[in-house]
Amino acid sequence: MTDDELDVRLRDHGSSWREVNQDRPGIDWDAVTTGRRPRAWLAVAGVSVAAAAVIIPVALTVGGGSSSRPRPAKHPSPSPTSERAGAPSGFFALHNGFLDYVGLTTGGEGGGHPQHSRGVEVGARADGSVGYGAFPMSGCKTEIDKIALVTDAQHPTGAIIQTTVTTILGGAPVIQSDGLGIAVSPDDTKLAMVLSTVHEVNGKKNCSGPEQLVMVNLVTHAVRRWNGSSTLSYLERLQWAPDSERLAYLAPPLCCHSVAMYRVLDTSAPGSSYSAPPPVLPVFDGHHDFGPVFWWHGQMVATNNDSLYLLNGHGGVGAAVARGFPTHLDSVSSDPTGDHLLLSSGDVTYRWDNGYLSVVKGNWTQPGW
Amino acid sequence: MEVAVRAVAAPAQDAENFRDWVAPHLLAMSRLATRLTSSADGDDVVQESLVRAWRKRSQYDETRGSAQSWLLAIVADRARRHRLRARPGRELVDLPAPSPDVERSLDLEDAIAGLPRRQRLAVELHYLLGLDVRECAAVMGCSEGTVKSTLFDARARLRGVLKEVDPA
Repeated sequence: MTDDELDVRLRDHGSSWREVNQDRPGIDWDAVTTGRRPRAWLAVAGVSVAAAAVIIPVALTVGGGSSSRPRPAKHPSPSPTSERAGAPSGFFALHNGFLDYVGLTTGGEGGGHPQHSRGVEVGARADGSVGYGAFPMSGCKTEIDKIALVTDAQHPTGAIIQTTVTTILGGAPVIQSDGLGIAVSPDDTKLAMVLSTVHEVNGKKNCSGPEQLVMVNLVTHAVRRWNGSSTLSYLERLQWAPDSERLAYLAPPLCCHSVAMYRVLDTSAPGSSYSAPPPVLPVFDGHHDFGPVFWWHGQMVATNNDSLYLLNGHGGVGAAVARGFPTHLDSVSSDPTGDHLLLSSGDVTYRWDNGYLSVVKGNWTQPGW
Repeated sequence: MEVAVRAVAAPAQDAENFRDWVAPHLLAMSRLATRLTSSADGDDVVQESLVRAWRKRSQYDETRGSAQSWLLAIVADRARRHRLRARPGRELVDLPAPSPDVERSLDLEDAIAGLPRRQRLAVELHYLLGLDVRECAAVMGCSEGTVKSTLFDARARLRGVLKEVDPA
């Protein structure tokens, strides 16, 4: 089959498909403008859970068998100053496609310092002092920049200083979403991100190939890449372990009839496949939706509903160790102590300070400190 | 039959006008949501997308793209999020053996579903939704040249897969 023949076949197929698919969706408009959960979803959710299958056996033991009790959610207080003590003073995020540094004040959040470069992926050092942005360049290259907020005699009110770290081959992700972004290792020596592979098509570089996991050494600028497989090509929710060697991520399958799995890759070990490490947790086990896998106070954890659960790394889920989290998290970013987390769920960014949960004003994508 | 709607240039801040603004694009939103998830989940994705569009309506900038491309970009993102939470083990039902034409379509559908994320979105937007290259570029946030080369690359990959399925 020639390229032209396939082009015609695809056009015919699309035309036939559109002829059959003329139905407009039934929209619950009140739910759209009020934020209320649509009525139909309540019934659908029950059916879905009943019909679901479990791939990894998960034993969920809430509270029992733990030497430490979960940290309860705290009631909002008029002035959560003590809970926020020691938290990063700001975070990095995308806003309308631009990279921002957002300063957090004690009285509330907001008042960003917009960095007018179009960013496609953003990440930050855990203390929130330095951010990294990945920007698409011509020739399927991605430029990685370091962004720091500097306050000195020359810039008494603070200024954003942007410097290029390196430029590497690879295409930027097509959609900016909270699940994607740059993961900065705790020792601040490595970046991990998702890029598309580069192909030569008619002598021109094409940057839309299968996704790679790319690790950049910030000291040597060496780049290491891991590929997926024919059944596993999407990748997101990258999280470094405290040893700055292991990396957790979510790898959804290409086809929609099996469940997405969290895996942990040892980046110091040989190998070139991110689909090779065995799964440590399904995103849905038949009963529970698990949010991003990350490390909290040195232990591997994942969120489910409003709680944080210990993981044993082999599919087992242990005790709840903290509560008071938003549901359906897309991303989690922890400061070095683990006492201050930046979370995103849908459109909303939250901060969690020693059990005190509050909403961060503004619309931020890939928020991180 | 297309329903005549009042043309509204920008998303209004009140609910009724927002509905009018969205109405001409609902079919395209529904089609993309169905393509990227399933017919059963498509309505949920459109509903989620509209909630997001309503909350972010003040951020819409008509100088950066049409209303349709803005809404479809939201659908693509919501569909990705929805797929992460896709429930495995869907109920299987016995169906009669497909005709050769249907079998051919199923091969093509399987091949499209197996494309890398960027290539699949380009194919879905251009061929299945029938958007032109300029509109695809607006949804995908890239240049028209990038869309063209992505489509070329996708077709090359599809040809390889379809050749394996049906060597004749």
